[in-house]
Amino acid sequence: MNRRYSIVGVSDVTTGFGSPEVPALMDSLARHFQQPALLIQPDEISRRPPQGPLSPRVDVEHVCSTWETYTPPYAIDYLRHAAARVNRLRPDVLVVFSGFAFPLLARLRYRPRLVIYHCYELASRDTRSKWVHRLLAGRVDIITFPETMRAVLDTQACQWRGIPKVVLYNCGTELTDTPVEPVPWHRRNGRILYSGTISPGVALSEYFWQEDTSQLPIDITGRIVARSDEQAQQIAVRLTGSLRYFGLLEPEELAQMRGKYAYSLLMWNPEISPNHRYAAPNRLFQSIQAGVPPIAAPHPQCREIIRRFDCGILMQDWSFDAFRQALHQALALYDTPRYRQLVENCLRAARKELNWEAQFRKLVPLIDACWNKENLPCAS
Amino acid sequence: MPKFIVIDPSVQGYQGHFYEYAFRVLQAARRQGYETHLASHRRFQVPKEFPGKVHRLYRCAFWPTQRERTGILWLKRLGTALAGVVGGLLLKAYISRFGLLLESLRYYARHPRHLARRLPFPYGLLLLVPLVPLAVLLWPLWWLVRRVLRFFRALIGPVVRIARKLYAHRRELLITFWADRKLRDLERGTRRLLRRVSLEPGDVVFLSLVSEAELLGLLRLFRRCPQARNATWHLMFRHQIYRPDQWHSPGEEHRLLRSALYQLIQEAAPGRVFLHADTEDLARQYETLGVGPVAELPIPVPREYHQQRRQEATLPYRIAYVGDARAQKGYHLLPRLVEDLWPEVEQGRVVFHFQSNFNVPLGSPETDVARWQLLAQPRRLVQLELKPLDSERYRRMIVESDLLLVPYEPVAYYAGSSGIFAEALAAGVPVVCPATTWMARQLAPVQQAYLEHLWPTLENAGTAPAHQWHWQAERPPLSEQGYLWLAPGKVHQATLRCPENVSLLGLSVGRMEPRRSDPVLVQVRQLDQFGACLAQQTAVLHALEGTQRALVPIHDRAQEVQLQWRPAGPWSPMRLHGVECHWFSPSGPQQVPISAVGVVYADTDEELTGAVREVIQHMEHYKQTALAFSEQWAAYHNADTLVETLHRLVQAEPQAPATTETPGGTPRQRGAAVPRAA
Repeated sequence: MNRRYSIVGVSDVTTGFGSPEVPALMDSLARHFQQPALLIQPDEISRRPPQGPLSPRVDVEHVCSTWETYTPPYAIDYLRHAAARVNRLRPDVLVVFSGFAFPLLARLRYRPRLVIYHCYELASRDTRSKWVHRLLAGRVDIITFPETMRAVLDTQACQWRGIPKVVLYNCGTELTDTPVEPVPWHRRNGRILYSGTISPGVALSEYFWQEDTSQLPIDITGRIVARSDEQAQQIAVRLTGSLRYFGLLEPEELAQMRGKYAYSLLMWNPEISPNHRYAAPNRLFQSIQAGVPPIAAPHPQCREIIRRFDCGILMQDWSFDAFRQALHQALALYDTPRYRQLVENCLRAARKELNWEAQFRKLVPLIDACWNKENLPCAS
Repeated sequence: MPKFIVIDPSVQGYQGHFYEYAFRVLQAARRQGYETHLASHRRFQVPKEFPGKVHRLYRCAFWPTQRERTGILWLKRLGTALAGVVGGLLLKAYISRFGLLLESLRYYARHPRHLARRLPFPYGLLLLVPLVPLAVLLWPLWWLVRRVLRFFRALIGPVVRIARKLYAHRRELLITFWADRKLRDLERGTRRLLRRVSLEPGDVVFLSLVSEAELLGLLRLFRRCPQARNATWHLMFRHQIYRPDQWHSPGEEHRLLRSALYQLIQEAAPGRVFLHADTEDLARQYETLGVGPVAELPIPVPREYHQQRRQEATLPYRIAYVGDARAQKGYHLLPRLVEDLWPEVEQGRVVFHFQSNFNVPLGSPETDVARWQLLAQPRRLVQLELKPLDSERYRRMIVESDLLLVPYEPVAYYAGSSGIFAEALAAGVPVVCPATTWMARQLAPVQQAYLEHLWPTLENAGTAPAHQWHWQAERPPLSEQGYLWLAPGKVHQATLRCPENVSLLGLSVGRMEPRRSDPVLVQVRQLDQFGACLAQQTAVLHALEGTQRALVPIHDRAQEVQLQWRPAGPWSPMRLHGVECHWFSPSGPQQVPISAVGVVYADTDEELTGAVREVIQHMEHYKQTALAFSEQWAAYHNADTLVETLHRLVQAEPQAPATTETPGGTPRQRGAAVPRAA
């Protein structure tokens, strides 16, 4: 605790359960500046507290709370503690993750040399958030976004024109010493994996138990989100037969399991919110990195990635017909030379561009320019 | 010596199209023996080499500039600063013990059962104890204040409502005020001009950009200053009055424009007012107002573009975007294009050069995000011009590029011209532009000529007329007479099996009726054996004379082809006679180019990258065809032709229409003076 940290990050989630870009960005910054980093994280009751440092370069500090997760008192309590810790440490580089942690900037008693805001949820989701983001925009040096259209929407709503910004794909990898090796294409199990929230309407999960698709080999893992426990039970009952439900898996377990599948499935209902329409799923990149071709709904980023690298199957739209057609098409080409090509394209894309090192490289010129107080072309 | 006067209040500095336009036209007028004058904005600092006398008269340009909005901007900044200070304090107070206390009270009010979970909380309640006597004292006062406030709110309520309405329509109000100021300024300034320069018969006055406000200003001038009637007045329209999806017939929104034009013509002496537009489509739009003929004028591209053209493309090919960084001009599409073409960049085949200065401070959100994305790319491969360019550097940028991107928004550029496009073609630079725009229509004849020449040389592997295709609808859109009937707003889909060993799909239409400028779009989707879409490209068939053709490269794994036919125009149905599809076998190891001079795409999301790749793969062909086309293009689109056209109109009888040869060889009806009503 007495270690001197030049880089401090304030996270909005307990790490290790999704959002791998949070520890990945901290680790990359620690490596870039050759300085130890500290990540302050909140206490989410559904996720276990950390057992040790995130990596040799990144320590983690868990702010315990007695409030219910993500309620206003929980947020204020966390931000107060985090701000006090940052004010005591006075790091040169401060990284703020998501709009939840962003108001912390109002409590700072000094101006860090570099403030990076990793805006991976839509900042302009409601009036209050928009107002806070507008107000504190001047205290940020660099904003990173996971998706181009989200960047445009937030820039417009929060008046962020002129602030250096960069789009980093959500392809952070878990900081582990033993990365999972891709499984050869001919040793896959021929099934489709869906890992994520199971929520009718929001994640279009009702498509799974339709008559046409319930006979398909789909394995499902994730939390069932429903209005009531009864409804959740009803959903669980429907995930039977050819559909196999594995419950909520540990991240390591899921990472081991993913590579054995023929495909992975990604989709959200675009009508719910711009966050859903302009989805920037790290599952897409995890799947590509594991050499598992994704079957994705045509969210702009999924479409762009799959088209550019020819590494998956794209649904024509978000309808059930398109879903069914894409699944049948995928199963038809499994174990063919075309499938092999898709797997190879996934691995090639992951090696070349869809990895965290390549993404962080996009940020480095801006970091260097801001750090050295170079003139950036903010206006003309 | 007759006088040639250009009136353009938008000429304020040396940069930009307004200055260039006036400069080129006056230079050409001087060459043709006119005494030249420019009536400009008051801010214009006259350069030494300017070809004519400059009268700095006007205060209002066509568009309000930054300076005119200084007051509003200062007010905005002040508001933002105040909000920042107050908001910052409030936010600070919120993320404190005080905020926590407030939020926890609200929380427990909603979830009282959770109180039991949190033992330390009741101690927090002790903080409230001193507040109790204070609340007892203040409560009656607060009650009184609320009553008084309510009374005042009732009093000022209507005023607030009116203010809100005005604020909601502030943009329209500002435009109205601006237009009113502009028309008065034009009338005053031009009257002052006529006091300095007396107008004689044979003199030419050319207004290079006109809208309703300018017309009303001129109308006032003609009423107050009879001397104005001595010269011929040439009014140039450059903005489209209909969107492509609108019925091209005047509606209520055109009443002011038509009335102003009609009254102006009535006020002027017969044969003294000529109406012009810089494209044929615009001319047609303005003619629908029914006040008289509108003639097309060439775009005054300087001769240097053609003279300095490069004779061949050299590796790495330089792909350029020229003009302000605006979303309307498709600047925000560039980052994705760069990422898509990165394999070509790594192979050393392509580099990018983009003009990237904003037209408004800080740009629009799309362009701001796009520019930061481009700035993250290596500078030697993606070169950005962050400041506006002077004329020389601007010209060099176009002339030195191997491919010019014109990814403009088709709705905004449906009928209007693009100076950059005209300059690129004059310099023999291949272009990539969207279908259903004026730009695509300029390329259509030369592209058809190329396909007509190419067609017999291709190795035909089979032909299928439309009635042999598998149409998706129960009733195929085929008539008994054998023509294809395309209803407006509908898509007709046909499916074809793809024969083996074919490399190209050719579509041909013998005749299209009615002959109109909107083309037919055929979206070609190629599917593999699993039904996955391998490629998508749109063939564009224009309603021109003779057989129309289009080529689409076929993917080697394609098993099936879906053709989706639809007319680009939303209103009238089209009849297509002699519709056939042809399969062509590969005649060599390389795919043949599918077009000439440039490539036209229809779907920005899916086809822009493909269009650029097509040009890169066949750069030599596109360069040579663009160079060949540049001869006839530059011969027409220059300032001398423009001045000659105006000069001929002045010499001609007022009612007689003049005719000029167009580059494509088709005679077009040129401007006639607008007759006065009896």
